[in-house]
Amino acid sequence: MRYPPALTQLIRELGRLPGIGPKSAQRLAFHLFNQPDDDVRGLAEALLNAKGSLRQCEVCFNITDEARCAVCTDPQRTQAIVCVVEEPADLLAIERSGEYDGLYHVLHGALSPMNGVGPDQLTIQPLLARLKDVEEVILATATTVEGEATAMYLARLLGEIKVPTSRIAYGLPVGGDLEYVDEVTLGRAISNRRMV
Amino acid sequence: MLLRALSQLNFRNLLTPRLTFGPGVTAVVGRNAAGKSNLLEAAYLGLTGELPYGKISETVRLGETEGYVSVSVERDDGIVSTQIGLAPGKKLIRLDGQTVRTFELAKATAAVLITPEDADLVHGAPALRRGYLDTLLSKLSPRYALLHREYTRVVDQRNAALKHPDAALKVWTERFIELGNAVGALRSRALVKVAEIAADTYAEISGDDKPLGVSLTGAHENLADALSESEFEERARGVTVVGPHRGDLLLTLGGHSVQTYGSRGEARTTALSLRVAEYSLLSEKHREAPVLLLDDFTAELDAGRREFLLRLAARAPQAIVSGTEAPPHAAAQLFISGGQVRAEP
Repeated sequence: MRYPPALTQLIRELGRLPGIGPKSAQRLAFHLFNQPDDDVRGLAEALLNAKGSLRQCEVCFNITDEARCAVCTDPQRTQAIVCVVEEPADLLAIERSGEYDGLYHVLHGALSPMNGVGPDQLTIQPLLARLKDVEEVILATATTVEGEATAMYLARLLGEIKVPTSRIAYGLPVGGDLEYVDEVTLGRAISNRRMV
Repeated sequence: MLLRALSQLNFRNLLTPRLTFGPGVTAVVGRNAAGKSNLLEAAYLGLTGELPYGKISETVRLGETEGYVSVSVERDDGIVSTQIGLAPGKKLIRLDGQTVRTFELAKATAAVLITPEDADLVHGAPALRRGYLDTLLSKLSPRYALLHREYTRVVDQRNAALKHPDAALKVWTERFIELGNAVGALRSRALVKVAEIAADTYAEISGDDKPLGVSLTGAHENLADALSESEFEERARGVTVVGPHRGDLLLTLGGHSVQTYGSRGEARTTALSLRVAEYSLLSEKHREAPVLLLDDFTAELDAGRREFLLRLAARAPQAIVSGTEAPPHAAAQLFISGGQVRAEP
Protein backbone atom coordinates (compact mmCIF):
# COMPACT_ATOMS: atom_id res chain seq x y z
CA MET A 1 0.00 0.00 0.00
CA ARG A 2 1.10 3.54 -0.70
CA TYR A 3 0.35 6.64 1.32
CA PRO A 4 -1.99 9.16 -0.35
CA PRO A 5 -0.02 11.87 -2.19
CA ALA A 6 -1.05 14.58 0.30
CA LEU A 7 0.52 12.60 3.14
CA THR A 8 3.70 11.77 1.24
CA GLN A 9 4.05 15.43 0.38
CA LEU A 10 3.65 16.43 4.03
CA ILE A 11 6.22 13.85 5.16
CA ARG A 12 8.64 15.06 2.50
CA GLU A 13 8.25 18.72 3.51
CA LEU A 14 8.70 17.93 7.21
CA GLY A 15 11.72 15.77 6.39
CA ARG A 16 13.46 18.76 4.84
CA LEU A 17 13.59 20.53 8.21
CA PRO A 18 16.96 20.47 9.98
CA GLY A 19 17.30 17.66 12.50
CA ILE A 20 14.25 15.77 11.19
CA GLY A 21 14.90 12.40 9.58
CA PRO A 22 12.41 10.34 7.58
CA LYS A 23 11.10 8.50 10.66
CA SER A 24 10.53 11.68 12.67
CA ALA A 25 8.88 13.29 9.65
CA GLN A 26 6.47 10.40 9.41
CA ARG A 27 5.69 10.56 13.12
CA LEU A 28 5.06 14.31 12.94
CA ALA A 29 2.82 13.90 9.90
CA PHE A 30 0.65 11.30 11.62
CA HIS A 31 0.57 13.39 14.77
CA LEU A 32 -0.65 16.42 12.80
CA PHE A 33 -3.28 14.32 11.08
CA ASN A 34 -4.68 13.27 14.46
CA GLN A 35 -4.91 16.84 15.79
CA PRO A 36 -8.15 18.87 15.77
CA ASP A 37 -8.55 21.07 12.65
CA ASP A 38 -8.19 24.26 14.69
CA ASP A 39 -4.82 23.24 16.08
CA VAL A 40 -3.48 22.41 12.64
CA ARG A 41 -4.84 25.68 11.26
CA GLY A 42 -3.21 27.49 14.20
CA LEU A 43 0.15 25.94 13.37
CA ALA A 44 -0.18 26.73 9.66
CA GLU A 45 -1.06 30.31 10.44
CA ALA A 46 1.78 30.64 12.90
CA LEU A 47 4.18 29.45 10.19
CA LEU A 48 2.84 31.86 7.59
CA ASN A 49 2.68 34.74 10.08
CA ALA A 50 6.19 34.20 11.23
CA LYS A 51 7.47 34.03 7.68
CA GLY A 52 5.40 37.04 6.66
CA SER A 53 6.20 39.38 9.53
CA LEU A 54 9.71 38.37 10.49
CA ARG A 55 12.73 39.87 8.82
CA GLN A 56 16.32 40.73 9.48
CA CYS A 57 17.15 43.86 11.46
CA GLU A 58 18.50 46.46 9.05
CA VAL A 59 21.37 47.28 11.41
CA CYS A 60 22.52 44.03 12.97
CA PHE A 61 20.67 41.36 10.92
CA ASN A 62 19.14 39.79 14.00
CA ILE A 63 15.65 38.35 13.50
CA THR A 64 12.93 40.91 14.26
CA ASP A 65 9.40 41.93 13.33
CA GLU A 66 10.31 45.63 13.06
CA ALA A 67 12.79 47.45 10.90
CA ARG A 68 15.23 47.41 13.80
CA CYS A 69 15.48 44.71 16.42
CA ALA A 70 14.82 45.07 20.14
CA VAL A 71 18.54 45.19 20.93
CA CYS A 72 19.35 47.91 18.40
CA THR A 73 16.45 50.13 19.53
CA ASP A 74 17.20 49.80 23.26
CA PRO A 75 18.72 53.15 24.34
CA GLN A 76 20.01 51.60 27.60
CA ARG A 77 22.54 49.45 25.78
CA THR A 78 26.15 50.44 25.29
CA GLN A 79 26.34 51.64 21.71
CA ALA A 80 30.12 51.55 21.38
CA ILE A 81 30.61 47.77 21.58
CA VAL A 82 29.54 45.33 18.88
CA CYS A 83 29.59 41.59 19.41
CA VAL A 84 29.81 39.57 16.19
CA VAL A 85 28.03 36.18 16.19
CA GLU A 86 27.30 33.57 13.52
CA GLU A 87 23.57 33.00 14.06
CA PRO A 88 20.62 34.62 15.85
CA ALA A 89 20.61 31.64 18.23
CA ASP A 90 24.14 32.59 19.35
CA LEU A 91 22.90 36.10 20.09
CA LEU A 92 20.16 34.68 22.28
CA ALA A 93 22.67 32.49 24.10
CA ILE A 94 24.83 35.51 24.94
CA GLU A 95 21.75 37.49 25.98
CA ARG A 96 20.83 34.70 28.38
CA SER A 97 24.20 35.08 30.07
CA GLY A 98 23.14 38.59 31.13
CA GLU A 99 26.80 39.64 31.04
CA TYR A 100 26.67 41.74 27.93
CA ASP A 101 24.86 45.01 27.28
CA GLY A 102 26.38 46.14 23.98
CA LEU A 103 25.09 45.66 20.44
CA TYR A 104 25.35 42.67 18.12
CA HIS A 105 26.04 41.86 14.53
CA VAL A 106 24.76 38.59 13.08
CA LEU A 107 26.85 37.21 10.20
CA HIS A 108 24.35 34.49 9.24
CA GLY A 109 27.01 31.85 8.87
CA ALA A 110 30.76 31.37 8.90
CA LEU A 111 33.33 31.14 6.12
CA SER A 112 33.11 27.70 4.54
CA PRO A 113 34.35 27.37 0.96
CA MET A 114 33.16 23.73 0.95
CA ASN A 115 29.61 25.03 1.28
CA GLY A 116 30.19 27.96 -1.05
CA VAL A 117 30.28 30.51 1.76
CA GLY A 118 32.81 33.28 1.22
CA PRO A 119 33.01 36.77 2.71
CA ASP A 120 30.37 38.04 0.27
CA GLN A 121 27.79 35.57 1.53
CA LEU A 122 28.09 36.94 5.08
CA THR A 123 26.98 40.36 6.37
CA ILE A 124 30.55 41.61 6.54
CA GLN A 125 30.22 44.74 4.39
CA PRO A 126 27.29 46.09 6.49
CA LEU A 127 29.40 45.36 9.61
CA LEU A 128 32.29 47.46 8.32
CA ALA A 129 29.85 50.22 7.37
CA ARG A 130 28.47 50.58 10.91
CA LEU A 131 31.71 50.87 12.87
CA LYS A 132 32.22 54.65 12.84
CA ASP A 133 31.72 55.30 16.56
CA VAL A 134 32.44 51.79 17.76
CA GLU A 135 35.20 51.39 20.35
CA GLU A 136 35.42 47.61 20.42
CA VAL A 137 34.35 44.65 18.33
CA ILE A 138 34.06 41.31 20.12
CA LEU A 139 34.42 38.30 17.83
CA ALA A 140 32.13 35.61 19.22
CA THR A 141 32.09 33.17 16.32
CA ALA A 142 32.26 29.48 17.22
CA THR A 143 35.52 27.71 18.02
CA THR A 144 35.04 25.40 15.05
CA VAL A 145 37.46 25.46 12.13
CA GLU A 146 35.03 27.71 10.22
CA GLY A 147 34.33 29.99 13.17
CA GLU A 148 38.05 30.45 13.86
CA ALA A 149 38.77 31.27 10.23
CA THR A 150 35.93 33.78 10.19
CA ALA A 151 37.22 35.43 13.37
CA MET A 152 40.71 35.60 11.89
CA TYR A 153 39.42 37.09 8.65
CA LEU A 154 37.45 39.74 10.51
CA ALA A 155 40.35 40.47 12.85
CA ARG A 156 42.54 41.26 9.82
CA LEU A 157 39.91 43.51 8.23
CA LEU A 158 39.22 45.34 11.48
CA GLY A 159 42.94 45.71 12.13
CA GLU A 160 43.35 47.46 8.79
CA ILE A 161 40.75 50.06 9.72
CA LYS A 162 42.14 50.24 13.28
CA VAL A 163 39.07 49.12 15.22
CA PRO A 164 40.04 47.53 18.57
CA THR A 165 39.04 43.88 18.33
CA SER A 166 38.82 41.07 20.88
CA ARG A 167 38.05 37.36 20.71
CA ILE A 168 35.88 35.63 23.33
CA ALA A 169 37.92 33.54 25.77
CA TYR A 170 38.04 29.75 25.67
CA GLY A 171 38.45 27.72 28.72
CA LEU A 172 36.98 25.87 31.62
CA PRO A 173 33.30 25.32 32.17
CA VAL A 174 32.13 27.04 35.32
CA GLY A 175 31.60 24.78 38.31
CA GLY A 176 33.65 21.93 36.83
CA ASP A 177 36.45 20.04 38.50
CA LEU A 178 39.79 20.50 36.77
CA GLU A 179 40.49 16.77 36.68
CA TYR A 180 37.43 16.09 34.54
CA VAL A 181 38.20 18.66 31.87
CA ASP A 182 39.74 17.26 28.69
CA GLU A 183 43.43 17.99 28.14
CA VAL A 184 42.87 20.17 25.11
CA THR A 185 40.45 22.55 26.79
CA LEU A 186 42.64 22.64 29.87
CA GLY A 187 45.72 23.34 27.72
CA ARG A 188 43.95 26.25 26.04
CA ALA A 189 42.75 27.58 29.36
CA ILE A 190 46.35 27.55 30.62
CA SER A 191 47.76 29.28 27.55
CA ASN A 192 44.97 31.89 27.61
CA ARG A 193 45.32 32.57 31.35
CA ARG A 194 45.21 36.11 32.71
CA MET A 195 46.71 37.94 35.65
CA VAL A 196 44.45 38.44 38.65
CA MET B 1 45.48 -4.16 31.10
CA LEU B 2 43.51 -7.32 30.63
CA LEU B 3 40.59 -8.00 28.35
CA ARG B 4 38.22 -9.83 30.69
CA ALA B 5 35.12 -10.24 28.55
CA LEU B 6 34.10 -9.74 24.94
CA SER B 7 30.41 -9.58 23.99
CA GLN B 8 29.03 -9.08 20.55
CA LEU B 9 25.89 -9.14 18.47
CA ASN B 10 25.93 -9.56 14.69
CA PHE B 11 29.65 -8.91 14.31
CA ARG B 12 30.65 -10.59 11.04
CA ASN B 13 30.26 -14.37 11.31
CA LEU B 14 30.68 -14.63 15.10
CA LEU B 15 27.91 -16.54 16.83
CA THR B 16 29.12 -16.83 20.42
CA PRO B 17 27.58 -13.89 22.31
CA ARG B 18 30.08 -13.68 25.16
CA LEU B 19 33.63 -14.85 25.81
CA THR B 20 35.86 -14.45 28.84
CA PHE B 21 39.64 -14.22 28.91
CA GLY B 22 42.39 -14.52 31.49
CA PRO B 23 46.00 -13.30 31.70
CA GLY B 24 48.84 -14.80 29.67
CA VAL B 25 48.49 -16.33 26.24
CA THR B 26 45.04 -17.37 25.05
CA ALA B 27 45.16 -19.48 21.92
CA VAL B 28 42.37 -19.18 19.36
CA VAL B 29 42.59 -22.26 17.18
CA GLY B 30 40.63 -22.87 14.02
CA ARG B 31 40.86 -23.65 10.33
CA ASN B 32 40.86 -20.97 7.68
CA ALA B 33 37.62 -18.93 7.46
CA ALA B 34 36.48 -20.26 10.85
CA GLY B 35 36.29 -16.74 12.27
CA LYS B 36 39.69 -16.42 14.02
CA SER B 37 40.49 -13.05 12.50
CA ASN B 38 36.93 -11.86 13.12
CA LEU B 39 37.28 -12.67 16.80
CA LEU B 40 40.51 -10.70 17.08
CA GLU B 41 39.06 -7.89 15.04
CA ALA B 42 36.05 -7.71 17.37
CA ALA B 43 38.39 -7.49 20.36
CA TYR B 44 40.39 -4.76 18.63
CA LEU B 45 37.24 -2.80 17.81
CA GLY B 46 35.92 -3.11 21.35
CA LEU B 47 39.23 -1.96 22.82
CA THR B 48 40.04 0.89 20.42
CA GLY B 49 36.78 1.93 18.73
CA GLU B 50 38.54 1.38 15.41
CA LEU B 51 38.95 -1.31 12.81
CA PRO B 52 42.39 -2.15 11.46
CA TYR B 53 41.02 -2.07 7.92
CA GLY B 54 37.60 -1.29 6.43
CA LYS B 55 34.44 0.35 7.68
CA ILE B 56 32.68 -0.41 10.94
CA SER B 57 29.22 -0.45 9.36
CA GLU B 58 30.41 -3.18 6.98
CA THR B 59 31.08 -5.53 9.88
CA VAL B 60 27.37 -6.10 10.54
CA ARG B 61 26.43 -9.67 9.69
CA LEU B 62 24.87 -9.98 6.25
CA GLY B 63 21.09 -9.53 6.45
CA GLU B 64 21.20 -7.70 9.79
CA THR B 65 21.04 -3.92 10.20
CA GLU B 66 22.76 -3.36 13.52
CA GLY B 67 24.91 -4.91 16.15
CA TYR B 68 27.51 -4.09 18.78
CA VAL B 69 30.81 -5.12 20.24
CA SER B 70 31.39 -4.62 23.91
CA VAL B 71 34.40 -5.35 26.11
CA SER B 72 35.16 -5.34 29.79
CA VAL B 73 38.74 -4.43 30.63
CA GLU B 74 40.65 -4.75 33.88
CA ARG B 75 43.08 -1.89 34.37
CA ASP B 76 45.47 -1.39 37.27
CA ASP B 77 43.01 1.19 38.59
CA GLY B 78 39.78 -0.70 38.09
CA ILE B 79 37.41 -2.15 35.53
CA VAL B 80 36.11 -0.20 32.54
CA SER B 81 33.69 -1.28 29.86
CA THR B 82 33.14 -0.08 26.33
CA GLN B 83 30.41 -0.56 23.79
CA ILE B 84 30.75 0.11 20.08
CA GLY B 85 27.64 0.32 17.91
CA LEU B 86 27.85 -1.20 14.44
CA ALA B 87 24.85 0.51 12.85
CA PRO B 88 25.63 2.37 9.64
CA GLY B 89 25.67 6.15 9.69
CA LYS B 90 26.72 7.26 13.10
CA LYS B 91 29.67 5.93 15.03
CA LEU B 92 28.52 5.24 18.56
CA ILE B 93 31.18 4.66 21.20
CA ARG B 94 30.38 4.33 24.87
CA LEU B 95 32.85 4.20 27.72
CA ASP B 96 31.25 3.12 30.99
CA GLY B 97 27.90 4.14 29.55
CA GLN B 98 28.98 7.63 28.46
CA THR B 99 29.17 8.52 24.78
CA VAL B 100 32.77 9.44 23.94
CA ARG B 101 34.93 10.13 20.90
CA THR B 102 37.49 7.64 19.62
CA PHE B 103 40.49 9.44 21.11
CA GLU B 104 38.77 9.60 24.48
CA LEU B 105 38.38 5.84 24.44
CA ALA B 106 42.13 5.64 23.83
CA LYS B 107 42.68 7.17 27.27
CA ALA B 108 41.08 4.15 28.92
CA THR B 109 41.77 1.09 26.81
CA ALA B 110 44.39 0.02 24.31
CA ALA B 111 45.22 -2.88 22.03
CA VAL B 112 47.77 -3.62 19.35
CA LEU B 113 46.86 -5.96 16.52
CA ILE B 114 49.56 -7.71 14.54
CA THR B 115 48.28 -9.39 11.37
CA PRO B 116 49.76 -10.88 8.21
CA GLU B 117 48.18 -7.92 6.36
CA ASP B 118 50.65 -5.61 8.08
CA ALA B 119 53.05 -6.10 5.16
CA ASP B 120 50.76 -3.62 3.39
CA LEU B 121 52.13 -0.99 5.73
CA VAL B 122 55.36 -1.21 3.75
CA HIS B 123 54.09 -1.95 0.24
CA GLY B 124 50.72 -0.19 0.31
CA ALA B 125 49.79 3.39 -0.47
CA PRO B 126 51.31 6.27 1.54
CA ALA B 127 47.88 6.81 3.16
CA LEU B 128 48.33 3.53 5.08
CA ARG B 129 51.62 4.65 6.58
CA ARG B 130 50.25 8.11 7.36
CA GLY B 131 47.27 6.37 8.94
CA TYR B 132 49.60 4.26 11.10
CA LEU B 133 51.35 7.36 12.38
CA ASP B 134 48.23 9.51 12.80
CA THR B 135 46.30 6.76 14.58
CA LEU B 136 49.17 6.03 16.93
CA LEU B 137 49.81 9.70 17.68
CA SER B 138 46.11 10.34 18.25
CA LYS B 139 46.13 7.59 20.87
CA LEU B 140 49.25 8.95 22.51
CA SER B 141 48.09 12.55 22.57
CA PRO B 142 44.51 13.87 22.54
CA ARG B 143 46.01 17.20 21.54
CA TYR B 144 47.33 15.60 18.36
CA ALA B 145 43.96 13.93 17.71
CA LEU B 146 42.13 17.26 17.79
CA LEU B 147 44.85 19.18 16.02
CA HIS B 148 44.96 16.63 13.22
CA ARG B 149 41.21 16.65 12.82
CA GLU B 150 41.20 20.44 12.67
CA TYR B 151 44.08 20.41 10.20
CA THR B 152 42.27 17.94 7.91
CA ARG B 153 39.19 20.13 7.92
CA VAL B 154 41.23 23.23 7.12
CA VAL B 155 42.90 21.43 4.18
CA ASP B 156 39.46 20.50 2.83
CA GLN B 157 38.23 24.07 3.23
CA ARG B 158 41.39 25.48 1.67
CA ASN B 159 41.13 23.11 -1.30
CA ALA B 160 37.56 24.29 -1.86
CA ALA B 161 38.74 27.90 -1.57
CA LEU B 162 41.53 27.29 -4.12
CA LYS B 163 38.93 26.32 -6.70
CA HIS B 164 37.06 29.60 -6.21
CA PRO B 165 39.59 31.99 -4.69
CA ASP B 166 38.20 34.99 -2.85
CA ALA B 167 39.40 37.43 -0.19
CA ALA B 168 39.21 34.73 2.49
CA LEU B 169 41.74 32.37 0.84
CA LYS B 170 44.50 34.24 2.67
CA VAL B 171 42.99 33.28 6.01
CA TRP B 172 42.62 29.62 5.06
CA THR B 173 46.25 29.64 3.97
CA GLU B 174 47.31 31.17 7.27
CA ARG B 175 45.34 28.62 9.29
CA PHE B 176 46.75 25.86 7.08
CA ILE B 177 50.32 26.96 7.77
CA GLU B 178 49.74 27.35 11.49
CA LEU B 179 48.03 23.98 11.99
CA GLY B 180 50.24 22.19 9.44
CA ASN B 181 53.38 23.34 11.21
CA ALA B 182 51.95 22.22 14.55
CA VAL B 183 50.96 18.78 13.20
CA GLY B 184 54.36 18.44 11.50
CA ALA B 185 56.24 19.34 14.67
CA LEU B 186 54.34 16.83 16.81
CA ARG B 187 54.84 14.14 14.18
CA SER B 188 58.57 14.72 13.91
CA ARG B 189 58.94 14.63 17.67
CA ALA B 190 56.99 11.38 18.01
CA LEU B 191 58.79 9.81 15.07
CA VAL B 192 62.14 9.92 16.89
CA LYS B 193 60.83 7.40 19.44
CA VAL B 194 59.04 5.26 16.85
CA ALA B 195 62.22 5.08 14.77
CA GLU B 196 64.40 4.16 17.73
CA ILE B 197 62.19 1.31 18.94
CA ALA B 198 61.53 0.02 15.42
CA ALA B 199 65.26 -0.04 14.64
CA ASP B 200 66.10 -1.92 17.84
CA THR B 201 63.31 -4.42 17.16
CA TYR B 202 64.42 -4.94 13.57
CA ALA B 203 67.96 -5.67 14.73
CA GLU B 204 66.65 -8.11 17.36
CA ILE B 205 64.52 -10.07 14.88
CA SER B 206 66.88 -10.21 11.96
CA GLY B 207 70.21 -10.15 13.76
CA ASP B 208 71.11 -8.11 10.72
CA ASP B 209 73.65 -5.34 10.67
CA LYS B 210 71.65 -3.31 8.12
CA PRO B 211 69.96 -0.72 10.33
CA LEU B 212 66.27 0.11 9.82
CA GLY B 213 65.65 3.81 9.28
CA VAL B 214 62.23 5.42 9.72
CA SER B 215 61.82 9.01 8.63
CA LEU B 216 59.17 11.38 7.36
CA THR B 217 58.97 12.73 3.86
CA GLY B 218 57.07 15.90 3.16
CA ALA B 219 58.02 17.27 6.56
CA HIS B 220 58.83 20.91 6.05
CA GLU B 221 60.73 23.13 8.42
CA ASN B 222 58.23 25.82 7.58
CA LEU B 223 55.15 25.18 5.49
CA ALA B 224 55.01 28.80 4.40
CA ASP B 225 58.18 28.38 2.30
CA ALA B 226 57.09 25.04 0.88
CA LEU B 227 53.76 26.56 -0.01
CA SER B 228 55.22 29.45 -1.95
CA GLU B 229 57.46 27.01 -3.88
CA SER B 230 54.45 24.92 -4.88
CA GLU B 231 52.25 27.85 -5.79
CA PHE B 232 52.27 27.12 -9.51
CA GLU B 233 51.28 23.45 -9.18
CA GLU B 234 48.72 24.36 -6.56
CA ARG B 235 47.05 26.90 -8.76
CA ALA B 236 47.04 24.53 -11.73
CA ARG B 237 45.53 21.62 -9.77
CA GLY B 238 43.39 23.51 -7.30
CA VAL B 239 44.53 21.42 -4.33
CA THR B 240 47.03 21.86 -1.53
CA VAL B 241 50.02 19.77 -2.66
CA VAL B 242 52.34 20.20 0.33
CA GLY B 243 51.83 19.58 4.03
CA PRO B 244 51.46 16.74 6.53
CA HIS B 245 48.43 15.33 4.66
CA ARG B 246 50.83 14.46 1.82
CA GLY B 247 53.67 13.19 3.99
CA ASP B 248 54.86 9.59 3.98
CA LEU B 249 56.95 7.33 6.17
CA LEU B 250 60.20 6.56 4.45
CA LEU B 251 61.44 3.12 5.53
CA THR B 252 65.04 2.26 4.74
CA LEU B 253 67.48 -0.59 5.34
CA GLY B 254 71.10 0.42 5.29
CA GLY B 255 69.97 3.61 3.56
CA HIS B 256 67.96 1.92 0.78
CA SER B 257 64.18 2.10 0.55
CA VAL B 258 62.48 -1.07 1.81
CA GLN B 259 59.45 -0.27 -0.37
CA THR B 260 61.56 -0.29 -3.53
CA TYR B 261 64.50 -2.59 -2.82
CA GLY B 262 63.42 -4.66 0.16
CA SER B 263 62.59 -8.38 -0.02
CA ARG B 264 59.20 -9.66 1.16
CA GLY B 265 60.81 -10.89 4.35
CA GLU B 266 62.47 -7.55 5.01
CA ALA B 267 59.14 -5.80 4.45
CA ARG B 268 57.38 -8.10 6.94
CA THR B 269 60.05 -7.62 9.57
CA THR B 270 59.85 -3.85 9.03
CA ALA B 271 56.06 -3.84 9.48
CA LEU B 272 56.36 -6.00 12.58
CA SER B 273 58.95 -3.59 14.00
CA LEU B 274 56.51 -0.70 13.54
CA ARG B 275 53.82 -2.64 15.42
CA VAL B 276 56.23 -3.35 18.26
CA ALA B 277 57.01 0.37 18.44
CA GLU B 278 53.25 0.97 18.73
CA TYR B 279 52.99 -1.61 21.53
CA SER B 280 55.88 -0.16 23.41
CA LEU B 281 54.79 3.50 23.13
CA LEU B 282 51.24 2.66 24.20
CA SER B 283 52.62 0.70 27.16
CA GLU B 284 54.64 3.74 28.16
CA LYS B 285 51.65 6.04 27.84
CA HIS B 286 49.26 3.85 29.86
CA ARG B 287 51.94 2.66 32.32
CA GLU B 288 50.60 -0.81 31.63
CA ALA B 289 50.74 -2.99 28.56
CA PRO B 290 47.93 -2.92 25.98
CA VAL B 291 46.18 -6.14 25.05
CA LEU B 292 48.26 -7.87 22.37
CA LEU B 293 46.27 -9.43 19.53
CA LEU B 294 48.31 -11.70 17.29
CA ASP B 295 46.40 -12.79 14.23
CA ASP B 296 47.36 -16.02 12.49
CA PHE B 297 50.89 -16.55 13.78
CA THR B 298 50.97 -19.81 11.80
CA ALA B 299 50.93 -17.77 8.59
CA GLU B 300 54.40 -16.60 9.57
CA LEU B 301 56.68 -19.12 7.94
CA ASP B 302 59.97 -17.46 8.77
CA ALA B 303 61.44 -19.16 11.84
CA GLY B 304 63.07 -16.01 13.20
CA ARG B 305 59.93 -13.89 12.97
CA ARG B 306 57.70 -16.63 14.30
CA GLU B 307 59.95 -17.14 17.29
CA PHE B 308 59.98 -13.41 17.92
CA LEU B 309 56.15 -13.24 17.77
CA LEU B 310 55.86 -16.07 20.29
CA ARG B 311 58.42 -14.41 22.56
CA LEU B 312 56.50 -11.15 22.32
CA ALA B 313 53.26 -12.92 23.23
CA ALA B 314 54.88 -14.80 26.12
CA ARG B 315 56.32 -11.57 27.55
CA ALA B 316 53.00 -9.71 27.29
CA PRO B 317 50.72 -9.60 30.36
CA GLN B 318 47.96 -10.71 28.01
CA ALA B 319 48.06 -11.91 24.43
CA ILE B 320 45.36 -13.46 22.29
CA VAL B 321 47.03 -15.50 19.59
CA SER B 322 45.19 -17.08 16.69
CA GLY B 323 46.43 -19.77 14.36
CA THR B 324 45.61 -23.07 12.72
CA GLU B 325 47.39 -24.66 15.69
CA ALA B 326 47.94 -23.49 19.26
CA PRO B 327 51.16 -21.70 20.17
CA PRO B 328 53.30 -23.48 22.78
CA HIS B 329 52.70 -22.60 26.47
CA ALA B 330 49.19 -21.18 25.97
CA ALA B 331 47.45 -20.59 29.31
CA ALA B 332 44.04 -21.17 27.75
CA GLN B 333 42.72 -22.48 24.45
CA LEU B 334 39.60 -21.62 22.51
CA PHE B 335 38.48 -23.51 19.44
CA ILE B 336 36.52 -21.76 16.76
CA SER B 337 34.66 -23.07 13.75
CA GLY B 338 31.87 -21.52 11.72
CA GLY B 339 31.92 -18.49 14.03
CA GLN B 340 31.16 -20.65 17.08
CA VAL B 341 33.70 -20.67 19.92
CA ARG B 342 34.15 -23.75 22.12
CA ALA B 343 36.43 -24.69 24.99
CA GLU B 344 37.06 -28.13 23.48
CA PRO B 345 38.27 -29.02 19.97
